[in-house]
Amino acid sequence: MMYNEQLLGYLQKAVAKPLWSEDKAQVFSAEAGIKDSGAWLKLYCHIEGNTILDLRYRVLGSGYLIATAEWANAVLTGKSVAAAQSLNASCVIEALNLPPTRVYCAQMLVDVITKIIRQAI
Amino acid sequence: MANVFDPIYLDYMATTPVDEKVAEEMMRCLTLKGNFGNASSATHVYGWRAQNTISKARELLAYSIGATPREVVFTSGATEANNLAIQGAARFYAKKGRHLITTTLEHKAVLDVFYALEKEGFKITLVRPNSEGIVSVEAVAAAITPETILVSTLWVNNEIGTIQPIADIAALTRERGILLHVDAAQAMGKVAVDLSQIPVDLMSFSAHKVYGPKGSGALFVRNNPRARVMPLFYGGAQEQGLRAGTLATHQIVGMAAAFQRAKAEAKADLKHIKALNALLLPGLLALEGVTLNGSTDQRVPHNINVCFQGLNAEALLMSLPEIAVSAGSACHSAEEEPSHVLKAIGLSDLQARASLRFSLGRYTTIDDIQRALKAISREVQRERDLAGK
Repeated sequence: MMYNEQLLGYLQKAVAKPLWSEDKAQVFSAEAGIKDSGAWLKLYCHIEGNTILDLRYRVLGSGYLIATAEWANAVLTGKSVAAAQSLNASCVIEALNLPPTRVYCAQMLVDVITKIIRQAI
Repeated sequence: MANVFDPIYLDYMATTPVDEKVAEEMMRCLTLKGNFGNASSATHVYGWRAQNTISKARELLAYSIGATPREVVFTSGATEANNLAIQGAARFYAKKGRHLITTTLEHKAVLDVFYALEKEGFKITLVRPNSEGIVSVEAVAAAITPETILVSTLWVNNEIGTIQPIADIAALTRERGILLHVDAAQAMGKVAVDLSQIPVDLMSFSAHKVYGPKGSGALFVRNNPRARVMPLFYGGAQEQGLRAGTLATHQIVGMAAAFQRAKAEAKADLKHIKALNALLLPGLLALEGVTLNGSTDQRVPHNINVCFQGLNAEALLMSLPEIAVSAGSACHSAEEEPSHVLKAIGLSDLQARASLRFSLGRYTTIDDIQRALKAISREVQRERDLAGK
């Protein structure tokens, strides 16, 4: 299987930034998948007002899932909550050119963001 | 010559580059200035020259495996040789019995042939290996029935490098009067192959795993006691009627030269590979959560298959542009299913998906291994950090 360069770029940029304490005000987190199943994503968003100030994550899974998490960091940091709300799986699949067998990465990301926004608004 | 920016090649069990001297010999059989004739053209010197060249190559190859020239049938590769052996023997001996035995460790070039024959009405039994990746002679013996006509097993596993007890299995099948086919695609150049010493009836070989060309292989068909196979297709009397089609002189010459070199360089190659293995294996096992798949001692040093417990091998592969390795067999690594070989030795889906195969070859250097280890160590740590471990 050939990997696209954009996806590889996000994968290679992915880094485990230190996490905030989960009880810190304005930090919201949610997860999708199960660690023991080999596909798991947990996102942490620092949201103030209507803006996502920062986004961090922990992820276990294929390179596609890691790249998806890093892509979310790149496109959502500094954006409004409304912009995050408009994100759907198709946008992620198209942006990262995910193959059909990796569509679940986009769905996991959208699930997590939806859960976080529910907490934040 | 590889570009300095090319990744370090650690996938020699997928394929090997053609040896420069082998390529030179092949070139001599391609152009107008060379030996380009059709070996079946009996009316002119071009044909005679080609036939003479092929005869010499056949002798050379036969000598390198301890066979006689008459016992060598050239094919397009090990896949065809496996098909010719298994389908050919099953059909030839079908009146004697319709039960065939193989193992769950096999390459798909064998397993899929068995599944196809099962659909035709043959009964098949797949013998399971132990957790070390070794099929015991007792397990094979237990699978034999009065209807059994053929046992097929590989010699060196392509994914985990384990060495099967071929001499013991051959003694058993000979004693029981059952034909034995061995897929030796990964064995040549890695273990001593001497068919004058082991009573195997049919053995498949590949050139491109031994620094020879792709698209070239051979099937050994024992002459005494005579093993019989039906041809797969028709259209010419080449190869004693077992494999119709114009003989590919350059491919055959390349294969023979590669096999001759593998035999001549066997000791030096093995010493080199063992030195590389002695650096790479401990380096990998020193990383947190890394375990070796398959036997620690009954394996070729060319292969290191390890499980990065709790990680995803595909993510590692994608994150390591500096090295070229494989998650499972190259022939089906693009598939989504975890390796059937790793599952056969008891690994879970998750463990199989966390495993990578490193395979070493003649051109791998100590510097390659040191650089690869540095890159792998960096990526394993990064992915463990990302997973919050």
